[in-house]
Amino acid sequence: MPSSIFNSKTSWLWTWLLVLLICATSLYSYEKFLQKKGFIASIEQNKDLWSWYRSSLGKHKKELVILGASRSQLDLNIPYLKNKLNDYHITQLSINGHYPLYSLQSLAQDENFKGTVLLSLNAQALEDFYFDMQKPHNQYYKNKASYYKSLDAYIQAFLQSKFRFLHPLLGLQDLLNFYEANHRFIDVFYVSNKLDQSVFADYSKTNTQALLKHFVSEKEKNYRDKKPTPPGQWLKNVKKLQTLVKKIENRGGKVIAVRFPTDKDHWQLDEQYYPRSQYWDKITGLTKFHFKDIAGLEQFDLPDSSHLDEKDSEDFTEILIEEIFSGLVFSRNS
Amino acid sequence: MLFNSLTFVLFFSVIVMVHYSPLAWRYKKTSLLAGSYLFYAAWNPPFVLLLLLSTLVDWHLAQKIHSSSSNSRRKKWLWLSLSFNLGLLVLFKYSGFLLENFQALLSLFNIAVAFKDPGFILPMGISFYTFQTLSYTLDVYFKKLKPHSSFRDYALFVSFFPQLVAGPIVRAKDFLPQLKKQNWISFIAFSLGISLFILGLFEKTVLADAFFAPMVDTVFNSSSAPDQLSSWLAAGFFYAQIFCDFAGYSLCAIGCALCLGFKLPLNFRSPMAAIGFSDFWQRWHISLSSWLRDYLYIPLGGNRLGSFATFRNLMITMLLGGLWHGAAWTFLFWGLLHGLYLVLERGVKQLNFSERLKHSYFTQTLMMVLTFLLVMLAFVFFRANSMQQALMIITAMFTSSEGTALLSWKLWTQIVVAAFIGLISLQILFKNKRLTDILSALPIPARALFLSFCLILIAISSGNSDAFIYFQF
Repeated sequence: MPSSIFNSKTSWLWTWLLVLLICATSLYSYEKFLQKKGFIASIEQNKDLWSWYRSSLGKHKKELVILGASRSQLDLNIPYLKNKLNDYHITQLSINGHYPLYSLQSLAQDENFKGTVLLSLNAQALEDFYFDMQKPHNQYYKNKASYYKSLDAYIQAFLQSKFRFLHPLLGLQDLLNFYEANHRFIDVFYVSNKLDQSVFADYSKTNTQALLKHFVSEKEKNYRDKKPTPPGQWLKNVKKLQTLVKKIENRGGKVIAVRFPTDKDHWQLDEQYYPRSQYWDKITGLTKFHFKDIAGLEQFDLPDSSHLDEKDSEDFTEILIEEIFSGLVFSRNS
Repeated sequence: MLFNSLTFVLFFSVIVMVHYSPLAWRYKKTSLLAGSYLFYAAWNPPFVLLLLLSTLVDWHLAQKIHSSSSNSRRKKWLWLSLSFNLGLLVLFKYSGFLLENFQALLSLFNIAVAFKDPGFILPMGISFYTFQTLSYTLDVYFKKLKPHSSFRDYALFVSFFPQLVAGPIVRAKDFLPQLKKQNWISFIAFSLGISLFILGLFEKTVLADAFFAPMVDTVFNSSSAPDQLSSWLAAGFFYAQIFCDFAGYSLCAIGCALCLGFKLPLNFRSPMAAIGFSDFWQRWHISLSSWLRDYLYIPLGGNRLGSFATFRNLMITMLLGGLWHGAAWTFLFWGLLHGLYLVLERGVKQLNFSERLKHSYFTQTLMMVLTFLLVMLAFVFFRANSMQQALMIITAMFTSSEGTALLSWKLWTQIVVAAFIGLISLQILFKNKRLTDILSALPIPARALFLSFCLILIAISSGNSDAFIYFQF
């Protein structure tokens, strides 16, 4: 058959219509399949997206930024916070597995930032060897991020937050490797990352006993490997924290430190290595809240000993915010 | 801006809309120029000034060359152009490498001097646009071209966004005439442009990033010596990765340009099916190899001055071609190997083999396999982090000594191997055919299925969206 038949305007029109039909049908079917399996859309958190949110700071009259690691990502319900504090520009900058002191320093050095910081803090986070954990993100923001890269990351994350088939852990290689090892489709993930960088966990989708065992043993190993600095010496780091807080507060900002909950053996380990009376209670010079001091916060179950299930995050956030309100930190919305 | 980014899709949509609006051609060219600078600025805004400087300098020097009556003055202006362009390259690309090696050389004579690495950021695509502006002044110098009358057109020739950062390297004589009037293309040509873009994106995001790159990185980013299988797979996969990465970029560039009515030169023609090394260089990065041929090899004397001079010219051209790719001994050695391959090939061709033997199926197949293997071996140096690593991997390829099984023979590896074999087979099968001809000749359902397959895999493959490898050159 001569190629001119296939190369007419009509033939290309039919080609694109067919392409549209095939792509839409295939991706829609795959999306429905994933939905039926219980998958939830999730985004990829990366330095460009973090930079996108970081660059939004210092531009609003009232802003609240959340610094921390996974606890402040999973325990705080950002949609609820946004609804409750609707006159605040709320930014989630927590980074999974990274203590936030370097980010606090970066905000302290940013003269444009005059907002409120909700800082997830515990005694270990103040150790010298953990101070720089969030440095790579901050340095990337300062030296390498660009509006274009951040915008691109945001658009990508926006689409990932809408479609399950764009899930960053559902790549072809991940699917095939899992299939080869287990002879079934990949298991649903219990954690989903949202566009605003908050994280939700549905522990009914995972083996909580195994997870609990894993978290506690990892924490025990971590405490054994990274021995706590004696309290007297550790207090020097509190002074460093106080300097940063002062810098922000002198500009009219505010820093509120929150000790997010841990329970079961995890809490025992925390108390064994960093007894509250010798560490947390010695932190002065900033507004602080310990979960043990807030009525109602201990009632929540932490399935893996360190994080809340998504069904509890709204109630938890409500209690925490009410407590902070009663301390007159925020002006209550009518 | 990367072709494999969503912002590019938005950017390109706006460019296309303006391009096919009722605006006058001169305004469209201005908008294309502005768009090209925006495209470049997305990476690192201050470097647009360098692009502008390079454009301005060569524009003026070409005018000076043309208006000078004496040869000595023409030569003087040409040397200024060469010094400026090559100076930029040396400053941004080679200064760290040169200082490091000068320091090492001095230490051989017990002179201890510590030079500080200047730490310049390598401007994206500098090797491409300096070669493009250089070709303009050289063409004016050799009287193959008269300086263009419109600075805007010339600036657009240098900065035209589809090929700005990674080629194909376009010549002024091919591009500037296309700016005279708008080439209103047909729906068929537009469709072909979009198809080439999709295919290029598929090569880059699916084949290069998701399939080959993770395998290659596993071996080349490891400090352990690989076993025989891992080293062979890594070497082969890197050949495939760099082909898909670079040819993918070129296809995207050619496709985008075609959608706007511009024709860019073909940059790859089934190089994996090349028979011999001169054939390989007529199929691999054609716009660079033809640039080196026209502006370096031939001015050096080419093959006109006898065997020795020809071999010398080949070696100089390939060594500089290697160095063009990067400031490292590994790139230089890669160029040296290709120079040697070409010299050897010339030597063998001078022997008196019977025509029948030369053209027999067996000889041709053997030569194709040999070319493939030797090119693949040279690419080990291209990818390696150091000469030591390259030698370690090549040693592992040819000895059965104990090494770490960095790549295991699991399902994913088998799929990547299948893709690798498929890639080679397609290049052998369609060795001398153009992609546009193949796409045009496909029946509608096959064409639709093929394009859908590419699009779906682009959507669901989550390989790292690394920058195109050739951006660093």
